[in-house]
Amino acid sequence: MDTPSLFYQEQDMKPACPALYLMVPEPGILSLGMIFSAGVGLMVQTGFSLRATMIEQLKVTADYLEEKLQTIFLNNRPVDDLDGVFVAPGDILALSAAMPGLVGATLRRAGHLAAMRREITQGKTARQAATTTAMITLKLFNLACRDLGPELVKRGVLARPDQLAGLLAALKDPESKDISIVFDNKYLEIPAAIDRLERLCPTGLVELKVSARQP
Amino acid sequence: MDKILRINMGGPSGPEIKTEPLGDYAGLGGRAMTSTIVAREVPPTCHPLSAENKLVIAPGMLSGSQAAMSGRISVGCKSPLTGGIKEANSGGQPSQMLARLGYAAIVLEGKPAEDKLYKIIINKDGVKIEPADELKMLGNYDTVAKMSALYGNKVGCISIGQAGEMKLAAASIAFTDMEQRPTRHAGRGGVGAVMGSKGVKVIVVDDAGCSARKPKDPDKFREANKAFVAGLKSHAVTGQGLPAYGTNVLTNVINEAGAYPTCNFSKGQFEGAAKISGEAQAELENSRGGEGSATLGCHRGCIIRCSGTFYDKNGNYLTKQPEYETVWAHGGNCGIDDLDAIAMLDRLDDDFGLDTIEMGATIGVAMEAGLAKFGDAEAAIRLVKEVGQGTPLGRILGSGAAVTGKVFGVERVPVVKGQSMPAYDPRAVQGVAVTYATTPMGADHTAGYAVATNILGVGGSVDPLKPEGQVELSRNLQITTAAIDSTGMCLFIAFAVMDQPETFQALLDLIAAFNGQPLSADDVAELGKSVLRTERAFNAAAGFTSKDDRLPDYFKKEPLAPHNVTFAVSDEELDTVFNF
Repeated sequence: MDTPSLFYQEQDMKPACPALYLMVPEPGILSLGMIFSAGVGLMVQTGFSLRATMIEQLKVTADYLEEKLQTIFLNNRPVDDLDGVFVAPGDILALSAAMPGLVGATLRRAGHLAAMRREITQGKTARQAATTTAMITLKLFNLACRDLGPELVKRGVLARPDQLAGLLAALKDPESKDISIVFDNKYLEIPAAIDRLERLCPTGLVELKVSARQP
Repeated sequence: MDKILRINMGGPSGPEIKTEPLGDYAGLGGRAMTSTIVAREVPPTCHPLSAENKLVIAPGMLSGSQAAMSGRISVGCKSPLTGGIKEANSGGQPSQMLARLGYAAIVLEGKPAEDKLYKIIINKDGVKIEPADELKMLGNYDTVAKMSALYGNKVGCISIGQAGEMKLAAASIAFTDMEQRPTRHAGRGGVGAVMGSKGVKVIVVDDAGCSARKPKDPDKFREANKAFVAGLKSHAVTGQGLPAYGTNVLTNVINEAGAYPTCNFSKGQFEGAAKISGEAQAELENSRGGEGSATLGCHRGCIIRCSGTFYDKNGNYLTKQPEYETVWAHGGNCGIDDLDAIAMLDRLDDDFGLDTIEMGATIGVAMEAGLAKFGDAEAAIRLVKEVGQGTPLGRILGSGAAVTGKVFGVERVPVVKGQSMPAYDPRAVQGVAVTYATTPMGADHTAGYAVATNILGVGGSVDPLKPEGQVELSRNLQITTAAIDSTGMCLFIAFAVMDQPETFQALLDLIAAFNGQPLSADDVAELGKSVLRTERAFNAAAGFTSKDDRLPDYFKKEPLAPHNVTFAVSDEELDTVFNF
């Protein structure tokens, strides 16, 4: 099998954009839910199956994928066949645990109620002839956000300035007191960082990286 | 549970109380009990607010026992909203309490000759009914506070707010929770209006001195309950997702699927969904803190604990954690992305005694009519307050989405049999739409829930990845749901039961050990079919035909973004749902 150049390792393929580094006592405590719910940008090698993309590029373990990621959408369509769907540039991938409710169960990957949403199900897609490095949007919901979000932000994600300004504005004690912010190589306080973000082009992208500060 | 309490509110010298043995109703509980009594004793063509209608309140078959998750209670009558048979169910404390007192059902009959209000007090010593005009036009919260002062903070209350007293078709019946707050509601179909028509403001239930119902085979029961609880706790949905995020965990996911009805069902995705999602709600509740903030059970014996407590910005109790349907109805469906405003609307609904789904859908229709702008939370709050105040506009809104749509000339009114649809657009998830269209209850997602049809093998198996099967799945789900609704079990057990055959077996063993009789999957299926046949027969006698088993026409004509789909299941297919 081709060995994909993995998640966002090729620095020269990254879009040129300002960088926001956050140092927090523990990345897991950062209120990440909102940013992943709205979606973040990731550079990946496209052209691989959804299963290969998640395991080899997003570094989701095969067991976690099988047992926990029971609800998966590609471009708003629920996916049943992880090996028959191939990731293309610009795709929107959303990951969630198994959901309650009738419709929650209906949306479940290859669940026994899948026929009830046949009109919106993601069918098989054709594999691209060549792979390419491109951005996709990743959304993480509920337990998937809790479990996968901290590791992803350690490795870096792309987000719109307003998303990041919102993330910083929503920080409450003690997170807001314990955080260190470096924006474009300068240490900033939260209000100054928000101000800088709000002055950026709203449709542009900012690289967000979060690291754990030693206690 | 060996007796039925009947109260004739229209006795010549005042209400008459009668307690009788179960007779032909022995062995029934929950929805099976309410629908059977209504079908046998209520003339199908009667006016829902007349003396001929009856309000039946029935704990589930296992309620009052030590079985986990068994505290649901059913309310049945002829519905003032749909004109057909109705079963609405609720959590809260009274189900367990009534069952421990030995009552398999309370039947309110007749109608007071004068405009008088009563309260009913039930305890181990018997039943009393007393005038209660001092409670007139009080909200549920004040009513319960007065009952608490009189009868203590351990009693359970079944009450109506102003909406029920005004006999509005969106009126609910409130059941107090473990904190003695009126936050659990039999919401759908206007059951509160029927209680109001009987002149009953509140039923106080005091089970002091009563013990849990005893199973016929205690050892097997204990063993089965242990396995059942272990299955629920180990499952990702019932053991992790629901306790952490509540039912509102669905918002982001349904929105991602393009199945989230937005701005009165005009599109399938809401830009503000993430702001009102379960994840955002849990974060908000956790940051504000307070007892039972993000995780709380709704009744004694609940181990999933999908509820919580919503405190306002100042840390004061406002309401219980709004559920997914409520957050959608008053949120995305009205273009509102403010959790505090949605919580306030939930509080008002609970206090006035209104179905949150019906009211959210109604406000959405009102917004489309131009009474307010989509997204205007203050206007939505003002409109709901008009209902509680009983203004002419409030009475129109409190009569539900169908009436409001007619009064204001709106075409896009999302109802079936006069009842508003819940939080899933029928064009995106068409198997659910089949249930919306055909259930005897009017548009209702819980009428065909994700109960273990795969394990039960009801109607044979359906290949999930083949396009056919929506009608078959809806049929099978409606059958099994009718059975579960009769046990008193919370429907959320469905996920663990569906995925884990050993948990399903534990449930069967639990019921069998309690009754001392073996129970098979076929028995469960037959119970569900029997309930559905009874309900369908009532509706047919009330004048319903296959033409009532349809979605509004616009769902076939207006494509839903982002998938641009219309409802495509044919009328002929819909008419085969009840071929069993």
